[in-house]
Amino acid sequence: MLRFVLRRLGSSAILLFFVLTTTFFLIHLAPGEPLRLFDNPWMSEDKRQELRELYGLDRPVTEQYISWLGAVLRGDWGYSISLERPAFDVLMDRLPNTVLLVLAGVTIEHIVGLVLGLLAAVRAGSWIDRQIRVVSLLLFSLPIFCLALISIEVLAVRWQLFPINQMRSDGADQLSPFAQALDVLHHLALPSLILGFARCGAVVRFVRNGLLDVLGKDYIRTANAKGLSPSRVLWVHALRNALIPLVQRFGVALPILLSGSLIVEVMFSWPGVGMAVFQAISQRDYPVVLASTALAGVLVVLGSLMADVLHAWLDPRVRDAT
Amino acid sequence: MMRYLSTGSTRQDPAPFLLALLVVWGGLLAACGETVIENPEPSVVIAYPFDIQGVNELTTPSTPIMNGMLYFAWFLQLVEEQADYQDGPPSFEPRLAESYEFSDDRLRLTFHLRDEVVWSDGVAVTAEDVRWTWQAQVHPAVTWSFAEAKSRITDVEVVDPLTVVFHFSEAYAAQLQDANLGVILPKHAWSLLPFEEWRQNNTWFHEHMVVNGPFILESWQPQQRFVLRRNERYFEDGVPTTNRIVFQITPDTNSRLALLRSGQAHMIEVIDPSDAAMIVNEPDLELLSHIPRSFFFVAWNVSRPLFADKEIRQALTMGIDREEIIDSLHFGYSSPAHSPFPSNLWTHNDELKPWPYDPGRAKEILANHGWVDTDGDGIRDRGGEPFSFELITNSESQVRVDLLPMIQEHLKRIGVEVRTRSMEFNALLGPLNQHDFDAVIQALALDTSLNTSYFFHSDAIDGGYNWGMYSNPEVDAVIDATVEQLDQLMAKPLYDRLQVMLHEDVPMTFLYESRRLTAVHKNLHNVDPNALSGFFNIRRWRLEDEG
Repeated sequence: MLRFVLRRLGSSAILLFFVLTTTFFLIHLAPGEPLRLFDNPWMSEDKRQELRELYGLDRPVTEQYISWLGAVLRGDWGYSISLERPAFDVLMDRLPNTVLLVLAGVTIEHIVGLVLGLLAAVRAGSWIDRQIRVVSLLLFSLPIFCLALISIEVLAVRWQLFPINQMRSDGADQLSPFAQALDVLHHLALPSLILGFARCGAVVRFVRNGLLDVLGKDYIRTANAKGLSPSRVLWVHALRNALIPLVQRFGVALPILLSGSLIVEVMFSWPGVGMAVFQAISQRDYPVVLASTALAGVLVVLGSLMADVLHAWLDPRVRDAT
Repeated sequence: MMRYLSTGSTRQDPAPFLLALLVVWGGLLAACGETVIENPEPSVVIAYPFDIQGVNELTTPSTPIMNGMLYFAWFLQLVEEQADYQDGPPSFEPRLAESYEFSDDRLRLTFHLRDEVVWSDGVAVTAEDVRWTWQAQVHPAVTWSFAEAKSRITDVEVVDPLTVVFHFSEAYAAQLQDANLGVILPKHAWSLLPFEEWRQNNTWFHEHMVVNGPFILESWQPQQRFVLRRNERYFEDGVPTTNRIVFQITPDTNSRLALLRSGQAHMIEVIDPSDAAMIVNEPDLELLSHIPRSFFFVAWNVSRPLFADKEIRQALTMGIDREEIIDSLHFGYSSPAHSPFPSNLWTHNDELKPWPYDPGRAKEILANHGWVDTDGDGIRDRGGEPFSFELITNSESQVRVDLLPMIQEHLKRIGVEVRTRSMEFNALLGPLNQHDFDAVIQALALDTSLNTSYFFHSDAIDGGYNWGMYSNPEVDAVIDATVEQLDQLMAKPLYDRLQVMLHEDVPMTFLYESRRLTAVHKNLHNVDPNALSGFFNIRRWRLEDEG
């Protein structure tokens, strides 16, 4: 297993290098430059040149690349031009917020998807199955910003059940640590519900179809014939096997969830990585874009590695093969 | 499969359990975590789309929120331009300086500082702060992007702790504005960091912040909120009139409106005209509007043969139905323009009238210039070449993106083919600065000096905003004369003449002057946004709950 993990990490590092190199050249070749942020009618060409020299943007792109690569190998991801801070610090400050939002979203997505998928499968063909399938199709088709708009209008503006935006209340720093945690949880509820519900439609269908498929297998028939209770057959024998494709999907879902969280972060003013990257791209803030690309790459690698490990844990055939 | 399910007893059916689990869990999520902050302090809350990027003007990009905070909340200028800019040349009220005077030759400008102004840490504000601020503004390592405005200031001399003299290399109209540009910074606190290290230590200034304006920065959670609190050492009696102002950073338009409508925010500084009706229909909200010193236009690249003739540019202008644009995109909150100066400015030429929407006359002019539809495809052509060009704009502005198909449709009616493209502003600046485009929809803003040389002077083709490469020596001469005229009121005939020439030459088709709309809760008083800033008189805002 260890060899398998190390081999995967090695190939992922090479892939990451190519992704970063491509991104470096693509963003530098894209029209526009970061120093336009400082533009104004008084700014002379000499002053622009001074700024270019200050940020090393006057050198040829290949020279910039070599110097950037050297710095990255030393752990220096450069300095954000728009935020005037180290790019790595910008992302690390926000990463925990994004991770919190994404994890909450993933949890809701899978809990809701699992429960509704199970319900639909055990009641296949009934009215409840039909309703769940319609709702899951609706959630799957509805753009996330539409779901967010409707939820904000109904749950936050009219019923005032949740805060409309931000991660903490004004004045929350005066509360006890426990109350502060509850305050964050309260702010987290609506965006994570939206993130989770917007994507749970696919999980519902995965679980329902997987379970219906497994329930028709010979070993389930055998288990029934042995007189095991239906709930034991369902929970212990059927569900574990039906979840394997879902676990594989989980690794791929992580980067997709990160991009989905971008919209939610913007709509709810959630101070995460997505918002920083969104601003960095529009301002051609090269160091932040490159550092965030690396971060996304690492997350994709870790996500798919985690999916493989979980798969191996769930499926003895895979475990034995590795 | 169904057979399997039907064999299970109802007692062991997991469905009710699962459903109950989902409901209980959802209820818990909704209810838990609702914390109550006891006796929350009454605060003005502003839903604002952008965060501040620092607290040092010299190392951060200039944005409306940065300027609003720097100039009206945290720091003082020597003098403050007043909101009477519509009626005549800018007038200035004393701020840090209680008076100023020019020498007879206008090469020296002396400011007499107030003796009662102190920094928020109790240290007196002196002439040394003024001189040191100037040194920072022009220091090569600081690379302040506005440093050019100080190029004709040769020295700033400290006469005594409350007297400072600006020395100029020449006399010109905007001397006071140039001397006054930028806020006065705290030498005793910020000179601890050498100028050479400023660019790499932006957060240092926030950590060592002292102010002399009406508000201190109580806290700043990036991308969340920043909070202003009354500066107890501020020199004006009874000001500021509110204790605490919270800026909730809310990039999404709908979320900002939701905050305002639910009573969780008191103000949105700029709203879209399409949302104005919603604000007007809310009994607790009020809609304020003002005309900014901006002009919206289509700039024609006159270096391209297609737009080289001014009569062709006039024809294209008459082919654009601006009334329809105003009704469709601005819901009546704008009016047709014919000048870079908005109609409420004293420099505006009231005698001129906008080019009318006259497709008949436009067709006639095009035909007179040999542009006729010879092949019956609906597009005029000449010498086998169709009258076809590309119109570009930046994608961040939905109004400008929506303008593309409208102008395309209008010009199609007179037999002109328009191809459209929108791109990010940062990407758009490349073709604009290299003059590699046919026509562009953009907006520009006038500064205090109302200097139009950045836009229409031939010197502004390289490095300025004269993207369409317009060049008319007579226009250059008139612009130079307006800039050199020391008594700006005497320059009014020159401004009138300039507008007549621009109207005739049509280097740009001025589209409309748009009103900027602000939404305010009725329990927030004295909000008076104007072209200088939406936060112009923030120190005099008053919240009803505060008494």
